[in-house]
Amino acid sequence: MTTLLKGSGLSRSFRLPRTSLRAPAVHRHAVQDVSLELNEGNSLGIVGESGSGKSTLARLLLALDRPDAGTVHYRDREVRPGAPRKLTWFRREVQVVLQDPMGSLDPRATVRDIVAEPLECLRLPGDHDDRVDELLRAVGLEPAVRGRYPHEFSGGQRQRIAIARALAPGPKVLVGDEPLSALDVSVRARILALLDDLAEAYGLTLLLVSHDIGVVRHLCTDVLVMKDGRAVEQGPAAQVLADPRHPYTRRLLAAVPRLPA
Amino acid sequence: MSLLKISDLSVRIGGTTVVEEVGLELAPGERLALIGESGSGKSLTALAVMGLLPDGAEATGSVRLGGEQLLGLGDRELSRLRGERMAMVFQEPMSALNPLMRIGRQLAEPLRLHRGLNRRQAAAAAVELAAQVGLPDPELLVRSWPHQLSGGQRQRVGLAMALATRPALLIADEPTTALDVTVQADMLRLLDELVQQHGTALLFISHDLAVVARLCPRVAVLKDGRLVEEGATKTVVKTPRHPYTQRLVAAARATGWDTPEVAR
Ligand SMILES: Nc1ncnc2c1ncn2[C@@H]1O[C@H](COP(=O)(O)OP(=O)(O)OP(=O)(O)O)[C@@H](O)[C@H]1O
Ligand SMILES: Nc1ncnc2c1ncn2[C@@H]1O[C@H](COP(=O)(O)OP(=O)(O)OP(=O)(O)O)[C@@H](O)[C@H]1O
Ligand SMILES: [Mg+2]
Ligand SMILES: [Mg+2]
Repeated sequence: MTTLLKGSGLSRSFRLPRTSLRAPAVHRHAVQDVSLELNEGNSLGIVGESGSGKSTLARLLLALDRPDAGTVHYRDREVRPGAPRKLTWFRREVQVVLQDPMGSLDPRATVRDIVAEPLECLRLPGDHDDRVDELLRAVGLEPAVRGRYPHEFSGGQRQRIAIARALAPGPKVLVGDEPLSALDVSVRARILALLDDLAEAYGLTLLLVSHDIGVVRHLCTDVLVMKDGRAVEQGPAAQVLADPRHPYTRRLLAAVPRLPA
Repeated sequence: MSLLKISDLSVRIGGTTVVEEVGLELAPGERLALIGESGSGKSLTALAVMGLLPDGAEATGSVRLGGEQLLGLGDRELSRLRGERMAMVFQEPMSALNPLMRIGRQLAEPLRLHRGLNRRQAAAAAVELAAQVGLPDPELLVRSWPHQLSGGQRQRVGLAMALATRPALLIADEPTTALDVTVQADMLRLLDELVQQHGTALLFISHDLAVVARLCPRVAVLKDGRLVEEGATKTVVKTPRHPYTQRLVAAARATGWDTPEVAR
């Protein structure tokens, strides 16, 4: 089994604002000594408490932020934050859907330009317009929307635009930070099926931060549970979800709201 | 007497009708969930009530709050009502937050403007609000900038801001999507409590049927801008009538978390 993305001993802390000039500086340890491996064809779900460091961890793994300690490797090559030009090789293989779709989509760019952007930046060959239309259809949007701007869409539609963009260059790995949180079940089912297909056909490997245990259970072979910056439990999804060991994981699973019978 | 009465509400943007002849009614203290497919017009319906439709959108029909017609009111009147009578938790928390203002000030401002607290009282109340929505180290957190918060922390700030003024009508647009289920459960409990305490009427927009079932006795279903079903949540979940609602319930069960073998 090939290990694609690997994080070893990752830590990141932030200095919190002081309450007064005299007060000592307080640090928040957003991520503390987390290690993980993402193997080809597998998919890892990261779940955990709000504020436990999931997005910070994802940003470290994507070289969007620099760890205080630890390293990130992609196919045995070290990945460090730096000039976009130096990371082209990495971005061609690893794409991302960030947690806040509004903040990650350029408000002045049309949908066409947003979705085609990775194709152009990475200088990928082919007809970009055709590819954009194909992607929009795949996420359940009419290709006719290509001339519109991000603010002219609903929350769930914006999220799908971000997904279309991430899938555009045909990445090997897709890192999604709550990529389906704004989607109702019927649209979500469609995107889940799309990701399943891509995994099957191209071996797309997923790293998925999600609050939705149902989604994690559906998509992920492995699970990592975060609490207060630490990975408190890690293992095969079937095992962790069926027989959680850590008290927090137990509480998490017990709190999942269910439809009345 | 209803607190909110929406009748024949239509919203047009650039020649297309995105909300069509929607009618909804809410009594004081009552809770109604609005569910529906992504893009079905839930947020625009809410924004029409708040007088916050985007430029170029036009609303027709009638929206009454305590008898007063809101459609056609001037910006000043609407912004006064938004402070005193109605509040909204926005779907994307970042859009409700000013990126250049510390969290504490954003929480305190409406308290000074609309509840007449002085600067110091408002600052203390802001810390209290932050604690109430479960934010860690509230004294430090109020000194943070929005970009320093996690997604779920921002969403809770949005919720705190909307609750701060104790509105008669609260519209919450997907207020728990960025929260893990344990914090979500806490927030739903808090919402439940405060809404009850202050007799707030709640219009709760969500795509999570299980959450809706927990909070709202009544539910309305939007599809392509039209209301296709409305009724007691229990009944709608058990015996959905419209084909779209049927699909919604079936899909919720299929991708949801209630297969017995893993649920234990
Ligand atoms: N730039 C920053 N400056 C200061 N603190 C930060 C910064 N970014 C994150 N933090 C803090 O680090 C912690 C972890 O944040 P992170 O966004 O990784 O959480 P998360 O697990 O993604 O939560 P959520 O599920 O709510 O999105 C939080 O307490 C957050 O306030
Ligand atoms: N500013 C705008 N200009 C043009 N069309 C818009 C604008 N805002 C929304 N729309 C369209 O109106 C329809 C309804 O949007 P709305 O945001 O109300 O959907 P929603 O039900 O809240 O969906 P979601 O669950 O995805 O948030 C969508 O098809 C959307 O593309
Ligand atoms: Mg996050
Ligand atoms: Mg919406």
